[in-house]
Amino acid sequence: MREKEVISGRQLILLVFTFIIATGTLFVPSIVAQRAAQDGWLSVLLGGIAGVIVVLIVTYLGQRYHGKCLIEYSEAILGKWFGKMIGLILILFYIHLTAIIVREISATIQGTLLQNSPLEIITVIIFLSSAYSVKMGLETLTRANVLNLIVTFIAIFTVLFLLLKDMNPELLSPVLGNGIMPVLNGAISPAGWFCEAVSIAFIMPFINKPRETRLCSIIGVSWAAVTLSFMAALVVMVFGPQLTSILSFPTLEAVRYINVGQYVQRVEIIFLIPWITSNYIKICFFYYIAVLISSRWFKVEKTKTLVIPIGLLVFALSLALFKNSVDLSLFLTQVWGYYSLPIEFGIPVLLLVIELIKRKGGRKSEQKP
Amino acid sequence: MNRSLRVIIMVYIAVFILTGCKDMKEVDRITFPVVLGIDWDEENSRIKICTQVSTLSAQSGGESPSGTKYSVLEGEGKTLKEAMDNIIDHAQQYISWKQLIAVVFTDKMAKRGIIRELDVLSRNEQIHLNSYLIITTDSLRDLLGTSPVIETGLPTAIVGVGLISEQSTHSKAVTMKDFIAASLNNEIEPVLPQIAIYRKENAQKDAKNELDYRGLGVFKQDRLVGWLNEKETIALLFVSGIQNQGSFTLLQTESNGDGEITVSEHTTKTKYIPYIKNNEPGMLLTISAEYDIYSYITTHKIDIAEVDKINNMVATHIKKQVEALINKAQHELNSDILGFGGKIYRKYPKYWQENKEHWPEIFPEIDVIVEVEAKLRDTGELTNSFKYQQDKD
Repeated sequence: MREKEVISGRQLILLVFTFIIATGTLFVPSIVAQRAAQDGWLSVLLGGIAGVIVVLIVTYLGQRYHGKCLIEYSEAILGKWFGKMIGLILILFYIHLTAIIVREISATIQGTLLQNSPLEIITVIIFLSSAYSVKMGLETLTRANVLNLIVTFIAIFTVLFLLLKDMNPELLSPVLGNGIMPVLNGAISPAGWFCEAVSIAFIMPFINKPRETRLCSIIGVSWAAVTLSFMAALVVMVFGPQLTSILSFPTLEAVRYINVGQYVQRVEIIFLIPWITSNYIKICFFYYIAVLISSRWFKVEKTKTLVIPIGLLVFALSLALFKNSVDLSLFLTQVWGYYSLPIEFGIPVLLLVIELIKRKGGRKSEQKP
Repeated sequence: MNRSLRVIIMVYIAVFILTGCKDMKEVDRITFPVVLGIDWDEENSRIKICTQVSTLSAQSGGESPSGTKYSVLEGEGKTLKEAMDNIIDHAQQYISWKQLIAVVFTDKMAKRGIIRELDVLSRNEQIHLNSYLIITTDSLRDLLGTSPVIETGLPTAIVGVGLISEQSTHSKAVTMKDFIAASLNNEIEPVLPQIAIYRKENAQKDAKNELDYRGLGVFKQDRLVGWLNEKETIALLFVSGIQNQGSFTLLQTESNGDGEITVSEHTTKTKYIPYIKNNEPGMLLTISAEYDIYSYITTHKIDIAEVDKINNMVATHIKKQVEALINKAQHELNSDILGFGGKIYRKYPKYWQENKEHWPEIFPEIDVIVEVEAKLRDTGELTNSFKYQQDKD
């Protein structure tokens, strides 16, 4: 890792977009359909709003503590001990989060492509290659992401175009037929996805034009929200809300449903390969953040030295976390939102509130000498 | 790390990633069933299945051009999965279900309910949800043994269901997804196309059997409850608003001689307008149909007044057909194949939430008003009929 790494605003947009939609495309449509039926796409948009709020908070804090990441300024805001506590929570959370993402992807690869390969082998391959990418650093990763997104976009649009004739927009109505509660309820889990945008707080020091950070991140999050919301609507338009909620991977199943003139069919690989590469970027990014914040927390000079130890922890955890696919999908549907939001959303809000109180207090004390 | 070590590591990783030979099988060791037939043996309560597999050797060589390109395998078991495993033993080959195009259920099976079998099929990652479902009353063995009348690349006529339904009004292509989505809720009930063996009169003994699509089987959730004949099928297709090219003939019995007009539907668009009066739901169907004239054998001149007359005739004809269909669906079959439930749900979600459970009892009682508007689109390459021209001169 070069110590002076720089990414531009445009690269940030693409990075934010990738790390939100990568796993989301496959898992979110089924989760929101279970809670909110045909209104799932509204839930996704609501989740996106939560992501935008997180971005506003972390960019505000990041601009006040210029050149520092969340781990460093949490100590400045909360004092040494509480600040360190927050840092530790975040490190554990990021290691856990990365492990969950790795498991999501390895389980999907095993379930759809390499059915007879053991999970361990798939995980080890991902580990070796992503550890190498993380060693190369953030700049390399963002550049690779730009290349990857072009392919992903072509794939998404191809799939969309081929599915047009199977979509029935009528299935999306009645909008809010069961009231607003199911929609709010369904928004919790996707909000967990969008609030992963809190990661921007750690990479802010690397962005070459700090003023652009806020705008670019918001563009990235909202773009991802619209895309994901569209995916959620798409599968409901193809399968109807009932069938969508029981399919393991509705988006993939929709792609498998493509049949144009008995000729263009079984095109799922067009969708799966870009999906895997996007997720690979996502794993690398969160793995990178986990390594970065650990090195900042432990005050390790060379970030590189932590790549392998943290990696071993992450990938071993990914194998041990879930017993089977039911376990994983139950976790994502019922636990994920409630578990991740207090950390992704709660910590920035807490920091912001204390920061504002301190500022007010500070001003008052200035006024009264 | 020096360069050579890096290269070695990359090669090592590539060995794992790039080779997919573990499960590799020679193509001629794999059998690809294209049609799966499922039958229910009531006496022994066992499932019997038949599949049609294309045999590669016949396709590759030109040795036996008239020989069969397929063979029929049979298997049985307590459940569908057991039966599918049983077929493997008979085939003595690796069976891949990836090329499965259609699944045929017998009426016995369909009357028992097919949701268990659909669970097995949709769970299997080799079978795609876009496979077609078909229903038959004939023996599966004979049915799957039929070969295409006209030589095609397809192993059997059955797999052409998608293609045929584009041209014929006697059938409707229904995929596994359509069926499951419809049977999971009570907003609409599913239908499946019926296929039958067509036996020619005075046919020679060794004459090949031919297939015939005739009408639809009507389901209630996953159970077969009745059949629609060809006329009723056309009516259902009109109401579903599908672009279709099915034609029908109208007899014109006017004072100045008998006439005959054959018209072909170009497009039909149906608007479902549900309403609730005194807490009783009702449905207004407005069908606007565009049609072409395919034959016009009368002595009348085609002018505006005549077109109006024909429009009326076509509208009355469609209206009669659709009303007969709705009457049958409501009172004879008690199956909401037109999806009235869904339309009411979309317009009155609150009413639906309260009465969802009682919909099967409410459905036969609702008032349905049918309004048809027919419009002539094109008379083809001729304007007036030959007969008219003959009389005129």
